[in-house]
Amino acid sequence: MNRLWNDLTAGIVKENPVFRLVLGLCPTLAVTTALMNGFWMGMASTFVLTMSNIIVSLLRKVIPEKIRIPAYIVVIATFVTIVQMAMHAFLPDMYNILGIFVPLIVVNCIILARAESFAGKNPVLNAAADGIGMGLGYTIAVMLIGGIRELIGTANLVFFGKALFGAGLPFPPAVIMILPPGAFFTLGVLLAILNAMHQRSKSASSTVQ
Amino acid sequence: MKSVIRLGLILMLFTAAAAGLLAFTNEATKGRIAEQERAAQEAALTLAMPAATSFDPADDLLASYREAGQFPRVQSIWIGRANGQAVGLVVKVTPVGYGGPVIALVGIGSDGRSTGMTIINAAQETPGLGANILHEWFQKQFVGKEATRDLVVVKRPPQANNEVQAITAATISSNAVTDGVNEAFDLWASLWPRVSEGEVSGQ
Repeated sequence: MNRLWNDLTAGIVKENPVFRLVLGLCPTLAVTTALMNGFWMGMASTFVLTMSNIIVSLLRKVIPEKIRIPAYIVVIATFVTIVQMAMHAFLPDMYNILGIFVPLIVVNCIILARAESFAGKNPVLNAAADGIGMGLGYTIAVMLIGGIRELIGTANLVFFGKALFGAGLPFPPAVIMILPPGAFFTLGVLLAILNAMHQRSKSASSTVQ
Repeated sequence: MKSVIRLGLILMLFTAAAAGLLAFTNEATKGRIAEQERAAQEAALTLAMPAATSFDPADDLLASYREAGQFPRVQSIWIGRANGQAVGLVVKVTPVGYGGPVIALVGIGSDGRSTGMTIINAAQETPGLGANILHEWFQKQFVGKEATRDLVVVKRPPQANNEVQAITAATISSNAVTDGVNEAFDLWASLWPRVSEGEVSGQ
């Protein structure tokens, strides 16, 4: 049980896929122009990640070692396509928001990386926990980047269709933040801050010993 | 050699199972997807021409223009009807914005004035800049314009009937929409006499 909890929480902070493992940067940089884009992309990725982790874990003894990567890709691509079709049919509003992001999930290397390094070697419950944890970690990361970029780039934040700051904050929006360079600025600064914090806590714990 | 065949066969089983699953999902969802898309299109057409109660696709009227290479931005047209009478044209245009094509519906009534303009896709425009063409105030500007005069984009509040105000720092997207609307206007001017005449002789 303890192990299961560890697998669940590892992805959120300690092994956060974006900030600690630095995985899946392509969709991370591409979709984080707004807080809600990050939220929906994170949710869709979490679903695909969890489902593909479960299937890969269930089939881990059936899939021959040599063809595991193509087999994983087939599983992931199938899930993404199913999600896309189901969403289009039953949640058209959400599909309109997410439409262009959903196919991007196939190329999110977090999903293949977790299938390869975790789900292919662990029992199904742990794999599911890992999928949920990694998915939440990813969601938090893309929401954080998206939120910062939207806040500075448009002087406002939109949360579930509601502008949080009414007519906008009293500073001129720095439009570059919602253009592609803003993604690199934000991610770079966040990585630097988190690395500095990580190092400080490491040196602090070593002086205590 | 043997193992290659064995692995290939296993992989084939995998892909066959995946294909089966996808075929099943497709079968289960395609009816609803078509229904959703039809409803969404109906809603968008109604936004472009609130007075019409039904819309007849009339893309066959575009054939002669296509051959001559005219109206390249026009994708489809519909004849809007109320009580069976043609009340105007709705034109789907796809002008190219900053990041890619913008898809818009423009309705022009029988009196030669635009009845509505709705942008159905601006996904490739920059969020916070070009994507602001989706804002209601911008789209509303295109209602009630005379289809016989080309619209001009200005960077101040509009003063004449043929002026629309650009979005700050998104002139390319604003121009793109306006170009599309102008092309719809030109098409209306060329096509509407034929449509209304055809109606009369047809009845």
